[in-house]
Amino acid sequence: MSSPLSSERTLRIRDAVRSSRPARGLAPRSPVARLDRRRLPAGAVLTQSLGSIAPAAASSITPAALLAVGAGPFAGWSALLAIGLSVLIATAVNTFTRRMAAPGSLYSFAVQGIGPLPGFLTGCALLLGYAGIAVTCVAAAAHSLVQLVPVALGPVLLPIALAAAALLVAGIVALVVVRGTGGLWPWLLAVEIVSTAAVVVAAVVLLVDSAGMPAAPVELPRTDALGGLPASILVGVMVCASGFVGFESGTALGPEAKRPYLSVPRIVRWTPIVTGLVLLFSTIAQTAAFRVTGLDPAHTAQPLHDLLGAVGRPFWWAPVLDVVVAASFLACGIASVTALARLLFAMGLEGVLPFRLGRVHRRYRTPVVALAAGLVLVGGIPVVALLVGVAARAVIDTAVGVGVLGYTLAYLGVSLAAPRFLRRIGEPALGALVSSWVAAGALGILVPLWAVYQIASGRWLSLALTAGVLVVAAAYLLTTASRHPERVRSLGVFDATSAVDVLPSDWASRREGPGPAA
Amino acid sequence: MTAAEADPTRDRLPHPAAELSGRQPKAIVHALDVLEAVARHGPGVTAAEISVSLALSPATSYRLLNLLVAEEYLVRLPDLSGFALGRRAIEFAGVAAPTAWPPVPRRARGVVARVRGAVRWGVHLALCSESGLAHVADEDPDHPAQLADGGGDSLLGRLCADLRDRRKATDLPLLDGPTPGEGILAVAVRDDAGRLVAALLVTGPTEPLRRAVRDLRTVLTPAAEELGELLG
Repeated sequence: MSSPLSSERTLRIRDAVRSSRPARGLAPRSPVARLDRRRLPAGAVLTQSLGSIAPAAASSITPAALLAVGAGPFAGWSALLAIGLSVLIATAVNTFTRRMAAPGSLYSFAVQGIGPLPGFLTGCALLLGYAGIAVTCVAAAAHSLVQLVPVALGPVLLPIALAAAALLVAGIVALVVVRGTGGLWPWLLAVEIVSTAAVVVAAVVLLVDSAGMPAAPVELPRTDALGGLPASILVGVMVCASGFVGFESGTALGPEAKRPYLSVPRIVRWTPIVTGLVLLFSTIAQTAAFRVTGLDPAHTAQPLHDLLGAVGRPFWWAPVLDVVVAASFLACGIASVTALARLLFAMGLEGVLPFRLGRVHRRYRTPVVALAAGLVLVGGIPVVALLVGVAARAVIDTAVGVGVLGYTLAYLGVSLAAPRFLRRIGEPALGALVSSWVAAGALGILVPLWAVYQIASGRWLSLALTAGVLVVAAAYLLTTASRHPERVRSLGVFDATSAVDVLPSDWASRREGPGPAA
Repeated sequence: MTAAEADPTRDRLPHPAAELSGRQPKAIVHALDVLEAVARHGPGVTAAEISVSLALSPATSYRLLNLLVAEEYLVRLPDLSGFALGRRAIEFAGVAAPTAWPPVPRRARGVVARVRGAVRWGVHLALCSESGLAHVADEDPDHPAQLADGGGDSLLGRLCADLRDRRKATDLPLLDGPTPGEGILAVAVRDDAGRLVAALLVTGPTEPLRRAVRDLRTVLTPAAEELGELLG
């Protein structure tokens, strides 16, 4: 019996490989060779995706927000539909992650599929997504820090304390991101696992305790701004989206990851499913708990806190969860800024934004100038807003609104781009085409519905900010296209195969030196 | 013309199914077939061409190609539609693995050292393989020139290819070296059969080196002949 690896076959393949023409015309180095290519283990990529989702923070806060939308006992359906949606989007994203690795992630992907202008708008939407969630994390972590202060702060001291705390959080984020998460990821992953486990335990406790409570269930409010249960369930899907957005952010580390075409698609596929199930479970538990305790989901600042208190759990639960959720927010800030810096780096490398953004740290080979620019945005906005006395809650609500809208618009862009990309390269795989079309169709309904809901409930600021940024971005790109058409042609930079990739590994390491450093 | 027609060797190969005994994992066989097909077609072959030439369904071809790319046996070319052999396939076939470079005999090193003593430029020896790869065998310790091993697209690989194509060296062209402002002169080292085995290289600031070419030839040509006997 001859095995598939029979010596005859092996010899034949060896001869075919030996007599094959080498690939000619390859650039000597990758366009993104400045980054520390092919070093990060899969765990670091997983930590990046998990960090951006912040499953603990999302699963503790999102269910109450979901119930507040008014789907009542049907809230679980919104969470389930959200998992389905994330699977479809993941398929569209993986169409690209199996074929290319790009620091600009969805931005570069979209340019490959739908061209420069829609691609650039996708990139700017993604930028809003990363920045919005990062601002949320900085503000929320600062808020938690200030709450640890045992004395009540007056109206003069409170804004100063909040702004100082935000500055501290932004500083910690900067320190971690500039060094790269290559060495720290096991700690960050541990934070994610411990914090998510804590929230799951809290959900189990809630479920058990509320089942044992004698009180008659309270009818949950089913008020809805849009009228009709289906609309509420659909709006609820967008609320749940805040619980899975960011799952694709490991993609931004593609060029820096070992075997990116293997690890990145797996992580993009499985993280939203696992974290989505945690969110679903937490939603079921909180729905049951809100029904027996009679608390109003629309008016609880810290739902998990308040619910555990209402079911009679001892006081020490609350601070434990506070610390856990704060750690989750900090990790989320680190992940969001890591991805944001890669996106700005890619835009700088292409020249569509100042070239300076394409510089890397001399020692760590991380995009340090892009990181500094991102931090001005992510640290500056909350610090200034808190300092002038805007409530932390208002900063967080607006930033989450911008973040979720930005992310979902970027997902819409990549879902539209995937089918066109597959046809362009001559690999129209049916499954990926259908998934991308369905994802694009679903987002095409959900995003406008969400916008209408936001306007109807008076939260138009995040909508106006997002629309404003995208209009400015479109105008900027059209102006750049007329002045420097060559810059627009170079859009969509990715880790293209270079000569070093087709040489034996111990040669590659000799040839690939550090790129131009900052 | 289809891809299958373009490849005459394909017909002479036993069909994969002929080697199967029923229980063997077909996916592995198909993956190996795809690897072999990419090697035979050469760089730039597309998924559709592979699918046609192996009579595999498009979906299977896409999956296997993506799998082989993920495992680094293949690479996607920068146009994202063409494929070429990747690092692991090349290592797998043992094509000029670095350990396979023959050691340079002591007497050959002596010849290079003698040239170094006779001229005031950087003198280096690079080995050239038939498959288009090049290896820095002896770099001038006093005038390091940042030369690096490489394939057909590297500076040394191109130099070797250039020397191989130019059988009769009537003049010594001065080329741009690895660092700006530096030039590089290359003299072919051939064995008895006239096959290129190595290149004797001289590096230095471009303009002074250009003026010295004539004098250098009288030193380099006999040295290259001597090296040819020692390395051939």
